[in-house]
Amino acid sequence: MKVAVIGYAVSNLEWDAEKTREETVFEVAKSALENAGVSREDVGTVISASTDFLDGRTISNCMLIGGSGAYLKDESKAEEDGMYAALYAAQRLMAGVHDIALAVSHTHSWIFNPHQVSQYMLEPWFDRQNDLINGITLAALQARMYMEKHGVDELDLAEVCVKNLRNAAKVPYALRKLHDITVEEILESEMFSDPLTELMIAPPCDGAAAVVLASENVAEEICENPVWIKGIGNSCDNYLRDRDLAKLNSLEIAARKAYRMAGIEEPFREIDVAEITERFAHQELMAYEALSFCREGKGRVLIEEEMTEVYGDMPVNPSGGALAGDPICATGMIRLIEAAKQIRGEAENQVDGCRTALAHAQWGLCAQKNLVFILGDEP
Amino acid sequence: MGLIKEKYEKTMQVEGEWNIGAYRYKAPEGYLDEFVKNFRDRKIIGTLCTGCGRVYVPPREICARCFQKITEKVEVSQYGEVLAFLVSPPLEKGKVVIAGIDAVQAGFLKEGEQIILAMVRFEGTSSSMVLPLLNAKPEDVRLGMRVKAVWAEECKGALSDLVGVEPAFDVRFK
Repeated sequence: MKVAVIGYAVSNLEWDAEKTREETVFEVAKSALENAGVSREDVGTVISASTDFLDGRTISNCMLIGGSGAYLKDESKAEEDGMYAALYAAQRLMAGVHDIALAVSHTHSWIFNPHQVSQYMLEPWFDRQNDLINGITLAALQARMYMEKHGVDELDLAEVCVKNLRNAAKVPYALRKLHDITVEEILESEMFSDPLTELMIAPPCDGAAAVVLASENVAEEICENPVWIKGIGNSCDNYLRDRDLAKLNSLEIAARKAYRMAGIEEPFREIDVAEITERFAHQELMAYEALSFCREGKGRVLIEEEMTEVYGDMPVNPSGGALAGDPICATGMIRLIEAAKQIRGEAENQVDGCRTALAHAQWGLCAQKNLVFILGDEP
Repeated sequence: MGLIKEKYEKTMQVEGEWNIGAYRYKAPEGYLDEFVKNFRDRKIIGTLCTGCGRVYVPPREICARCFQKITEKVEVSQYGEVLAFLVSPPLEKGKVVIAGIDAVQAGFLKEGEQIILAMVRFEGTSSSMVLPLLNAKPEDVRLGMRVKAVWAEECKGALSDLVGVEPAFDVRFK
């Protein structure tokens, strides 16, 4: 059973949004259904994604039934990135129980700063005893390990930010649109935790996203240009202390699974564009290697040779990625939507002749868990 | 509960807190207590997985790779290697609590000082610990440098006995 993306919607990404959580979700759910050309009655199952900690209430999907259109429907929630909601929705369609699924994801970071709670992701016995350990300092340690192992310097990280933030200038909903940013400005922005400066860290913000998925027969019937999900790979690594932080092993395994399912043998040649979640600048370079776009340790070369620019051989994050705006749970789903837009030819930074696209979402401290989707223009 | 401000026409803000009280985290027997008790004798204990021979410090009760329970315990070296480090912003009193005590008040870190956090892998182990790196200047720290454990003057068998690590050798970089 094949599954296709037939509609999507992204809300504006902003800090301190005027709309409430429910309104934002209602807006994206409604416009995603409109975009797909279906109504709420056609939808069989609804999956939402958000985290209770950031919503400030437990079982937070209960309050969202109205907004997400799940009233009296088969509904469930993923306490993870929105792309996992899309994964569960796709699996429900593949099981043959439903024909059309709606996946929504949202986070209002303004309600509660996500960096404030990153400490509670740590294990309580040892790591949480130390006040200085949190999501950002651990990412800085990871960056330091990676940079030392492969001779990467701060300039390379800044290059990643420059590429992504300049790309984001054209994207209407992005939070950080900096079309004339320079490497110097990135390095001179406020130092959060050496070597990571403010602009190298994805800015948490308010936002939501929704996608409509459909099974093979329905998608072909009601949609003119469905985007097909050709490969899925998912992998979760050990807790950060017991693994090699300088390498994204779980992403490598997830990518390999997805490539095998989609029949991709040479990722660099066969994939036209990649949309990846880089919460911190160094993670984009690490992802190049884990996704087999280059050999281990050579991620730096791709950015230096401008291969991952929109006009390059292997465009990565033409939408600006997570660095342009990070509505925690919706970030991965926005990557999926941007990848689908590239295949449909609707993207702002359109890559010419795009037929196969990759979308990636991460979850956990130092990208512990990774999910990869391969999208294509034919089933 | 109160209304905070009227910034927008369409939405208003309601203040709220989530006071869920204290949690009681459970640790398996012989996991945290034995690890910490051995601090009295200035010993670091890890667990040894009989499936793969990996040693975990701090102890782990389950080996994720072998999917089995770990029962063996071994003493590990006091010497280790710096895998990664970072330099914090200047410290403020009452802001940094490490292992239950205020580092500034306890006197082993000075106010206004910068603290170096190091990810340390003790010799022969497969996991790492994040500890403060003491008696070193930020510009002298290198990845892969050898460090040794620093103990409190009087060890009481508490997590705060292991104050941090310091460079094991007096190496001068030029």
